[in-house]
Amino acid sequence: MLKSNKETYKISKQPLNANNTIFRVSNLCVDFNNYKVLDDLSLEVKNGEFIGLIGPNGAGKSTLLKSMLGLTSISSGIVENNIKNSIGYVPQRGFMQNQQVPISVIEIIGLATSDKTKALDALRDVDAIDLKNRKFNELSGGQQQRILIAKSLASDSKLLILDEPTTGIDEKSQDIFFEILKCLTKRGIAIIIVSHDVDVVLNLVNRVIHLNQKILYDGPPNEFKLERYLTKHDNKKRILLRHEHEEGHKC
Amino acid sequence: MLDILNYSFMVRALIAGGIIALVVPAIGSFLVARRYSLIADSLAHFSLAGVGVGLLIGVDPVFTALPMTIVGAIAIEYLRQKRGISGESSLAIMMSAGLAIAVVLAGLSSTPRSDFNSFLFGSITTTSWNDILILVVVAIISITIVIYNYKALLHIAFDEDSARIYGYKVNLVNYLLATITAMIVVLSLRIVGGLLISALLTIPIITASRISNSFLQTITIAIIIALVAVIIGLLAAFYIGMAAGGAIVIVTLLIFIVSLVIKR
Repeated sequence: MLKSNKETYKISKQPLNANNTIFRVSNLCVDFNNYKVLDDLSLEVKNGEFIGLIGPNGAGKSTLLKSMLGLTSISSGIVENNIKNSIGYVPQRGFMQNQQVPISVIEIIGLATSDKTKALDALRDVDAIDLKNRKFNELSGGQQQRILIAKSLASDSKLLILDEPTTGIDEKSQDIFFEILKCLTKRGIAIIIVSHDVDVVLNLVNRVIHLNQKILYDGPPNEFKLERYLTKHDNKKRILLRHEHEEGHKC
Repeated sequence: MLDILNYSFMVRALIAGGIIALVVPAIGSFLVARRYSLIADSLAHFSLAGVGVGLLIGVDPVFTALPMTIVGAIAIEYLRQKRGISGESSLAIMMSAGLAIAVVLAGLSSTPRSDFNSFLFGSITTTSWNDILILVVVAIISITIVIYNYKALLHIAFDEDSARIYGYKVNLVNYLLATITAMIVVLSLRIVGGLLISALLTIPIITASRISNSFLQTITIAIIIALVAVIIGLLAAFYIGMAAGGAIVIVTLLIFIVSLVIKR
């Protein structure tokens, strides 16, 4: 039985605890059609943390993000934060590729703030001030993602949630994007990034969460057993692909 | 040339058309941005059911079409938001439902078929001062809602999830947009007709979006295109005897073709 967000999504005006915790998920369970997507999951996010969320397809990564953002109903547990309206969200690329009516970059930043100085500062922070009068849908993938980061900065986001933000973006643009993210964590902004590229995540973040319905690992990247992860997920995928190739594609 | 102004029915048509040209693009831009262009078509078909009720019971059809179309608009949003039926499918359901009811009621009604046709294709001569008064009130309400909720509407048009995260009451704003669309559709029936209103709601915006660099600029240019189309269309109706609704839409199409040629 899914519960409405009013029962389970709490926004506190007080600090959640003494450890700079801005976001807390306690005993979160999400079921869809009797299928357990997330099972008794708990985690805390502190100021300035750079968290990489990894796991195979169907592990519940997007469901966890949507639960944290209050975009989906949960079965049990509590999601609470003390940073109301200060959560930035950068979705997967491509959701607005074919905008029917053009929206300029400065209009998009304007959705987050009415303060023009703050809007321009946010664009400078992501090295995109030259793009302010451009149409959003005419920008490259990397530029679009930077504009979405700027939108979050303009609204003073304390936590940025990025869902596969660099899929389909060239390597050079990815490097620029990741450098911007590193700078933001130094300013105390917490970041949660979901990525299939485990190598990139391990080199980028200071905390890794390996999710597969439950949290299987939560700690520093240098202690994460990458080989075990690859054996478990990637090798399984390789074997599956080999079988498909040998048997032919069944549709 | 200005003898058109000596005819009070043409003055009423020009005033009503001008108001519609101001309001429709302001609402339509948010609908087109969300790929919801066909909502006007669905609502126009649904409003015909309301027209049928009015003709059947002998009440001014606008007064029966208005509440029925608002209910239809809310039903479309309800099916989309609460029942998980895609926007496209919920529009198709309501369009068919409205037309089916309208056809049945028109068959039962003893009023001449021409009365019903005037709502299908528009009829400038039937626009009364009473209609204009209602149109002015609805236009003021609609524009006030759009201005007051501009940021929320733009945010939802850009990304609905993001708008929810920023704390906007997305469902409420969606219901409001559907409701004012319903009101404007009904009040446009007499000028452009139920079958052509969606053209006025989309073509000026699609044309404007080809040459503009921002959302606000698109709305401004679309209003200018709609105003030009209404004025030329009504002049054509008066001097050449063309059907006003058709003439207005043809002018918007011509402007669209010019935009295609100018900006390939």
